Amino acid sequence: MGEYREVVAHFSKMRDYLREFFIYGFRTGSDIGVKSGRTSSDEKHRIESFLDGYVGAKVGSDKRKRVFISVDSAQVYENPFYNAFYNCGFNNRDIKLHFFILDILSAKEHLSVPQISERLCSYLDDDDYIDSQTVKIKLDEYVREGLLERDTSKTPYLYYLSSPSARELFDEIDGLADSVKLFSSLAPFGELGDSMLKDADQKNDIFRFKHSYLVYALEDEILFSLTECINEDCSAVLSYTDRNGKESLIDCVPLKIYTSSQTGRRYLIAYYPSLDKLSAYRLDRIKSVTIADPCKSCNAYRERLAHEGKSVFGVTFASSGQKPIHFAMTLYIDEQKEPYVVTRLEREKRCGTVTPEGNGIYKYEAQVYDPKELMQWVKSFIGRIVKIECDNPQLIQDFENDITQMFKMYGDKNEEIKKEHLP
Amino acid sequence: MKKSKKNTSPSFFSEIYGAYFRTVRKILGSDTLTRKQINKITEENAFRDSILYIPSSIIPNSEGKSEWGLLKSGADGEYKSLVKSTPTPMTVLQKRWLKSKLSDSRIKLFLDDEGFDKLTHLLEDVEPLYSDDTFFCFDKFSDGDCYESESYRSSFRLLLSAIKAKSLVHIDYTSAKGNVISAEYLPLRFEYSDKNDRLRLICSRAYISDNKAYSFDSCIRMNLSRIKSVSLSSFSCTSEPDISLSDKRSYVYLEVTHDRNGIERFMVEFAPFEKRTVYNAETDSCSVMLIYPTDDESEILIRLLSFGGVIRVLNPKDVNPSDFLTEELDISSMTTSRIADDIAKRVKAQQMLLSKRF
Repeated sequence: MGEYREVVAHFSKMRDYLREFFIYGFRTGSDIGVKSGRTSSDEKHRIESFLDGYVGAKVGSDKRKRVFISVDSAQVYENPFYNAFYNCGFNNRDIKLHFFILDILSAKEHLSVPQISERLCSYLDDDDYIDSQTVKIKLDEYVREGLLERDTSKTPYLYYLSSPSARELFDEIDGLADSVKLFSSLAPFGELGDSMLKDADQKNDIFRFKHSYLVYALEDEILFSLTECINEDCSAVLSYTDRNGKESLIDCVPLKIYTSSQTGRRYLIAYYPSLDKLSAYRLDRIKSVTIADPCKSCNAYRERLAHEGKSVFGVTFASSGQKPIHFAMTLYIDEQKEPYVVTRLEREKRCGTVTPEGNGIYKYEAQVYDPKELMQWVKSFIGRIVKIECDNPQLIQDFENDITQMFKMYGDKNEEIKKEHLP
Repeated sequence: MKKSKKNTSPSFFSEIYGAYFRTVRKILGSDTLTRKQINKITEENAFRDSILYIPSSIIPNSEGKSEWGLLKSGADGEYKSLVKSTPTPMTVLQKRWLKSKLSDSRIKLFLDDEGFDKLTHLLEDVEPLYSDDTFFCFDKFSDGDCYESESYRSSFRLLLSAIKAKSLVHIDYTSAKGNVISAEYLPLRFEYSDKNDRLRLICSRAYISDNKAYSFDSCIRMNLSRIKSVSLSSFSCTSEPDISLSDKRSYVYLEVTHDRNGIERFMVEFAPFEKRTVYNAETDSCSVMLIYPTDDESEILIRLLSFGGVIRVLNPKDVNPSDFLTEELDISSMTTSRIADDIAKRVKAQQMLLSKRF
């Protein structure tokens, strides 16, 4: 049995715990498939440590303890889930090398591996030794990370410190630090901006955020691989868990990321060659991404996405050869008392159109591949819907059934609806 | 700035961003330190349990040795850093992230043309982390703020400087009902909404006497796009209202059923809000105490309605609050919701419309 360590070794497992504790807040370790009580306890302990102040627990009626993470996103100035990012990948062996190398190169000299290795000796005890191969591996790693530059015009190669630091850049460009305060709390990849603020000893004290899905930060490692695929026009293999919990490997061509500001979900839109269709994959269900070969047809798939995207309300694209389906909703709106409802229709119509037909009647129409995607939005107009028309009659039946169900929940309590509220 | 190629594969999760490196950098940045000072830096910069690991790994023992070998023992129980300098050059990912922001129109709220050109030049060989085309937010409202507007930018900049300087400003503002309001305000913070793609000013109206603000109203939110003009006030300000006054909150009890994947959809969508949940295995449903800003009651009503029969708003009389409450949650200052009544009215109206026949 290994010793408990505060730092996170396997982020994907930690991501599952964080999501469960934050999104649901009522599940126990066994509910989320944890086999060992020790594992569950260690992960919980780590989370309590780096999310100190946000984690609570409550014992249920079955006497089992439920851990929850409670954050009101509108009241925090910094996404607490970034702490998961700040608590990964620490290696006891490398910390010494990191600070000694940066100190050696801070004098703005350009030095070779042997020169750096020699200078390292002055930092070490007599019985301590770091071989030059280890030094070279670390230097090359830091070139990849961008901390160092490498001059390959000389033999042996010379290494020197990269520039600038975030602090120097903020000092040089007026207003930049404030812009990073805004962007560092916004997806995507806000943690990179937040790390710049921390490097410069600054913190956001100006902006608060409403409708902010903090939990998106937990998907950013996956998103990073996907954006690299998209940037490079590469195919990918996704390790994906579907809604039934079944895991599979999916070969696809990543094209675009569809994000939602209202549902808390982000999707990869990818071309799926096996079925010759565009498909949406939820980012929170992607366990890993393997970047595969370059794809020469990316531009053609992107054109297809742009074309089909005109008939998509959410994230469902055409099935093979499918034509868009007509959907219409007629609303009665009291324009004098509720002008904001007209505003809502206009700003939320997405791929649809709104036509005023007089006397407070407005008609919304759309041609979409999946009219079901409209129904959650449609129900937000309950109380004003005069008519729904759709080529899919089941959709209308489901809506009527839903209203009947809601009427059973609430109907008998309120009889004071005024006739003048109705068309 | 040298070229930063993206095919060099930097890692997204790297210890160089981590709290341990950051904390140790602060420790090494001091000339001499006591054990107490090392503990304090650890507590301020790392995590709750880090105090158990960082000091013991960095502080030399009686033989002058430590696991990390970064400090040496000095006189009088003090410790000295072995390094003279702890530089923090930006990583390639930080530069690429910043380069992506150059194409975000909001950056020009902060940077003037000179600053923007300077940053563009500094990052000219850096490839962006992503392009505008990579992302599409499919449900963002289409009437967001116009960040390109010069008057919007100048209002924003003036308000930003006023927030920092805690200065009073005079604002002419068009209310939602179309009335023009002209008064002195103390700007406190900006609030950004991704859904609305809108900036709001959190501010407090100031009441003036003898050229000084003597009292403040509770905080309000003002859409920046509705501000007609703003100027620094000639009046001074000697006190500051509590920004928490802008956070009046209410709560509502809900029952969410498993139908149509309702629990997952609800929990994910309402993740930004503070809530307490209790799962009922017998009914495969979840009881929720949802806490929200009182000002947002209409929005919450709309969003709950959109779930249809999957969600039922419960009468507080039918709920035992102790099922939800924990020590850290104080609801005494919160108000109970009127949402149940409003939803009932809307459902009743819809039922009447249905009975008239589709």
